[in-house]
Amino acid sequence: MERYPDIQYPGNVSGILYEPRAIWSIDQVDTATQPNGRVTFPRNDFKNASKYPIILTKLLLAPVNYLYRETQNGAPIDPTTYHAGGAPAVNFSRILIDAPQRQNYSRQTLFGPSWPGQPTWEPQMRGVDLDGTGVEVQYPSSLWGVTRWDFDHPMIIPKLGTLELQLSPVNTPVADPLNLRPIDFTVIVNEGPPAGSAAPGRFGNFPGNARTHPRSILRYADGFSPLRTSGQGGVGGLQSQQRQIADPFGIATYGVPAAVLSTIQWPSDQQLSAREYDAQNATEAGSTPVEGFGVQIDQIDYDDVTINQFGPNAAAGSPVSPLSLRVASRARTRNGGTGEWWWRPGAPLALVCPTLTPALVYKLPKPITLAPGDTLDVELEVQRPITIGINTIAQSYNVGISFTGYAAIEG
Amino acid sequence: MTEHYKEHFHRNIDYLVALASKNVREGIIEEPRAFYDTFTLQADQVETVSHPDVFINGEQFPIVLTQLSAAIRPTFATQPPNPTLDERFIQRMGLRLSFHDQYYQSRDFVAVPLWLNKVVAAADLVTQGSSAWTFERPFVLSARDSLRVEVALESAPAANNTRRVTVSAMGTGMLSKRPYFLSSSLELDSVVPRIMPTQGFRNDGAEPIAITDMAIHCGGESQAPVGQGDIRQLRLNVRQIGNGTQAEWLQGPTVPVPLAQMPAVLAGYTSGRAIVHRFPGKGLLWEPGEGITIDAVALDPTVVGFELAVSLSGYISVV
Repeated sequence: MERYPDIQYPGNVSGILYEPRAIWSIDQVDTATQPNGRVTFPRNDFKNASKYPIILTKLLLAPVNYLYRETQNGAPIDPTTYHAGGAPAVNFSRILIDAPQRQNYSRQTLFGPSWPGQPTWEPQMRGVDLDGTGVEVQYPSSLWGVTRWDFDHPMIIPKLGTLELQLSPVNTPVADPLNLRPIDFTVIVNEGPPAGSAAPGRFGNFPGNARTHPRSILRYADGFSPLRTSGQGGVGGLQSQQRQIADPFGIATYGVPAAVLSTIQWPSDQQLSAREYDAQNATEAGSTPVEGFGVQIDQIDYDDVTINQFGPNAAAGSPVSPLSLRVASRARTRNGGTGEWWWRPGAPLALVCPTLTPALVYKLPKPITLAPGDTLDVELEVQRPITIGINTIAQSYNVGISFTGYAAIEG
Repeated sequence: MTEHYKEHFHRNIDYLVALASKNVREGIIEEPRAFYDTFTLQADQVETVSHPDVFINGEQFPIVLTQLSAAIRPTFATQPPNPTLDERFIQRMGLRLSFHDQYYQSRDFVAVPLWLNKVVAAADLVTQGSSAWTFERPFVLSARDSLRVEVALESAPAANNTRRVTVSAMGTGMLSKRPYFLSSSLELDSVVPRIMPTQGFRNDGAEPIAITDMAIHCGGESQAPVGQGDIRQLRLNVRQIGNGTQAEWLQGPTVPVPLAQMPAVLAGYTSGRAIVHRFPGKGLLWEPGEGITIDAVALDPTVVGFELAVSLSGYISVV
């Protein structure tokens, strides 16, 4: 009987199985209610609750749950008194990371941009000039809408093993259901060439394979459902570790037509399911190295209607925020591997995709190893209120942070 | 692309020069190659298949393909508003490679953006107008050799305007190991194909150069207030003058409509605006006469009639 796949794959240590892992949290700082501008993320959010060591290789930082990518001046916020929007949330926030009883990762809090970012963005998409006049309409969230994670180590899935990756619905700021536009998503899981294959792929033997969930509708969350989410999977007091943090600028959520509406957290049709995974490439024999996954969210129409509905609330030229910062996710292996969730369910997609993401990605120069039961202390600090002339500049930010890496599983 | 592969494909200049020198000693010529085609997407969910003579090795030596790129080829001539100018619509197109009943990446069409497994974003200031291509293997530009670079615009600039096109090749001297930067520019005012001045690419030195990179830039119209440029406006083809195979590096369709130059946006294998997919492992090996077909599909009715451009790139080994 196969105890573990007898596979030698480049970069993997023999006898060790690797599974992707991420630990994450989100929090809100509002200096109107927290004058010292400081919050400590819950320790449990960063705890290694499994029985395998987790090696963290990258840090991700992102503004979570914003309607606009850079600036946002929605009521009731007075734009003269707030640094409002996605970009300031990273640029005005400082982070301190500490592995308890071992080391501080830095001696003092560091601004988000102080972390040298990895190149993980799509090419810039400032605007669209459909008339060819040189006048661009400045709103698109991104060029391709892709988030992607190529794993540090290929994950070997045994012959009958499968995996699943699920997405949550997303809230809409659109008041009139007649103005709703469809959002679509597609999922891909990439598998590499067979282990030990040193030669280029030949006919009938392409160098790899993919399993996909085809283009499907990403549903809007029912604004009146008790299980509605704020985009990152929080469900209020029902699960204390998944705190709900609303959009900081009072964007309401609305009930939407049943055809595109969901009242549940993880709709069954918003996933690459284990059955779907298994059904594809059914003739594949033996173990396969899974090298990564990607999710594409087509929000072209959503971008268009959002700018039309809320354009006056956005400063000129501020693009719509990518929905990967508001769609929650979860994933795990089935019938093989550990069967554990790769991250605490509910992480915004962008926070668990360090290869291509709208988040800021920082590669840790020295990986952090969390033994079972270990945790990290992470503190977020923003600028305290300051008064310049007659204006007191307050701050209100939603920031998400995550660490990505892998679990090393022996035997 | 895992960390392992990134390390595997490191670009150490000493290694590259040693590789090129070894090839010279052993009489091996390695030269960049790309195959390209364009697909006008038919009715929603109806697949369009590449011409069988395009993605095929028509030369006498093996070709290794390591990357795929894809981008929308806009139709510049239509009256505004012109949705094909909106690059985002590539999100609604699907793609797969097929060889009889073997498929890659999947039997199901995969949305083109999900082929992306290589980060290619260039700096904001130049991203609209540039493509950069780091060759998989360096090629040797011998003393007195040059490059024949043919360029053409997709649409003519407005009256009394030109677009400045610049193509550059970078490399290292195989004896001195000093850097070489070869470049040529041309002002284009029509869609007529032009040959760039060859003296800019000529190796006037006394040593062969291992050329490792190529950069392409298509500027904005000379009197336009926005100087960003637009790489989607440009097509090009390249071949070596002197040594080498003498064949065009970039090979495209000849029927039903010949397209003698590749859309330059597809050459952004290292940085640019095309979606770039790096094949796992060591890529695809095509012996002479071997090839595949590429299928494209509109995943949504809004992109019916759009033109999708696709290329496969790598190198030929003449042994």
